[in-house]
Amino acid sequence: MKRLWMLLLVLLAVAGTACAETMFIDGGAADEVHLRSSPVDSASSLGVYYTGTPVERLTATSGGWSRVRIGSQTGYVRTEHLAGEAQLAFRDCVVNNTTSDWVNLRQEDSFEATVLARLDNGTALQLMGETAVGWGYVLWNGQRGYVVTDFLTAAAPAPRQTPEASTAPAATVPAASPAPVAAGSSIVGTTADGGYIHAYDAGNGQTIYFVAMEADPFITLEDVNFDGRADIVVTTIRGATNCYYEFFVWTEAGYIRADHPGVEGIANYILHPQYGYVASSAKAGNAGALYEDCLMRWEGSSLRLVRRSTSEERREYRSEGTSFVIVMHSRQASLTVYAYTAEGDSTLLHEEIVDLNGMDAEMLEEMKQHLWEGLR
Amino acid sequence: MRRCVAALACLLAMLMASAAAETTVLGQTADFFYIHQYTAPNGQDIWFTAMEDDVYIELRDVNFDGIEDIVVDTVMGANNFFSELFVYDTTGGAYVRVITDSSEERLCNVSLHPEWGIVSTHWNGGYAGLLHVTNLYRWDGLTLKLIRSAVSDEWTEERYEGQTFTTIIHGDILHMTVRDHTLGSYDECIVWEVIMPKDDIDLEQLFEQETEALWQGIR
Repeated sequence: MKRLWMLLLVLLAVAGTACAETMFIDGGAADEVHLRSSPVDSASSLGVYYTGTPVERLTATSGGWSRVRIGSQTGYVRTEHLAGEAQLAFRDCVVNNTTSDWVNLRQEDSFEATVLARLDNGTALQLMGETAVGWGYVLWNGQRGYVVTDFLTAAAPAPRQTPEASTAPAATVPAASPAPVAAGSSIVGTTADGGYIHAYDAGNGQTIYFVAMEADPFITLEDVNFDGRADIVVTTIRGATNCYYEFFVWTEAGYIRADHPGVEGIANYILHPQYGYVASSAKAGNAGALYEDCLMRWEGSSLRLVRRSTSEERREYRSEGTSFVIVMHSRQASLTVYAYTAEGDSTLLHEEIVDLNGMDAEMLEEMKQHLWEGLR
Repeated sequence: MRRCVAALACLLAMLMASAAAETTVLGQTADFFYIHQYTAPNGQDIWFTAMEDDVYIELRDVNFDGIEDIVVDTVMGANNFFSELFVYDTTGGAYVRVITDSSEERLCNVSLHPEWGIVSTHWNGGYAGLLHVTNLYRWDGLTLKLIRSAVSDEWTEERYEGQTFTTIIHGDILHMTVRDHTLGSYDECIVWEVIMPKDDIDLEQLFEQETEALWQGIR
């Protein structure tokens, strides 16, 4: 009798597996989809996955959601974001562990998980997604596994974003990454914090010097100040989710480095030539729920900060007698949008505190509307 | 007070010994540092970044091998001067940037102690020197290895409560520690520690105890 039960259990397990259907993430224009903890848009994000990531569709649930397994994670995605055929939009990355020569590729997103392989620095792999706690779901040599995202850098300029069709007219920037300029830069020195000082021959007899965290930064030509002439764009930090850039704009006096006071770094920039704005958009964790978006406008060869929208973990500061208390609420986000004048004075345009679990695409879109209010 | 006077004398000595050097500024970084090129006495180009466009460079034997090395003051604040060292590597016949095995990327208010083979740094965090960090390094080839450190800070508590992380900085309580980094990990190598209300402190006596613990067995 016991043997019969075992056989039945095995049959049920096999049947369960057979029911699981392999499908692929289809993120549409955004090329990415959040895996949610429950079948509602407001549920907490377990991670973000790029178009083409294979998923096991376990069950269909009501309301147009599917319960799926992606690697070691199980959660929910909207069924409309699943496709029968793979359209790949993975991020090309390389291993770059600054504290060691290698990283572990693990079976699951945990330091206790089985090590599948040891990947040396410089190993090329494809990033299929990122969990909310900082693990990259990667494809290496046909093998899927997890690597800590801090140990990955983009192998090519981050996929350039174009403004969403619903919120802004198409920019002149092509969606595809611009081809790097043929000649690269040469390293002339290093900095105290481990960066490289690069010299780049601009082609007009001018040598441009800049500091990048990578030995092989990407250098592209692109009209970033909307004057119809090509400027020079260099990558200074190539992270797995954030790429930082410096602009050298063409002027009568040659190429000049564009200052951007008040904006620490130009991250994952988006050009909006129709409105004359350059947007910087840095992800700060929690699968995109924490971020800093800035809008800048050209003033000569400088980028002036016009608006800033941030989502950060809520912090309270207070004095208690002779003590100073800082309380950080890790599951709450403080969302703010500020406008800045040419003199640097700021005005708060929007502020709210939300539960990080409730951060969804609709809310992010609302914040974008606040950021752009009255500017287009 | 004695410590402040000593630090001031040290800074003055450094300023007198060094001179504004001829460097070429060739660019700037996103965080407003200037990219400098300096031609060393052997004709070698030395590159570095500095907060100032006008930097002080000193030729001085910092690794006690009898050969002059290069000290560049890259950040010059009111209380703290941050330097980069380039030592002459006789093997390669060139100046090489010095790195440390600590988190101190730019060395703060560097002092040389050739008699004990020690390079020390001292960061002044304010309150007339009450808050500070002193590090003692020993040379290991071209690397500075941290062997001792003294940290004087306001007593800070950190705790997780559910989904909140609270940091309480007690402005009225001083926390001083001396670590011997040759003994083990950061939490295991405390050799001297004091936690006491600032009002109860005999500063001079406390500083003497800290200095004694820091240099114990070295000099």
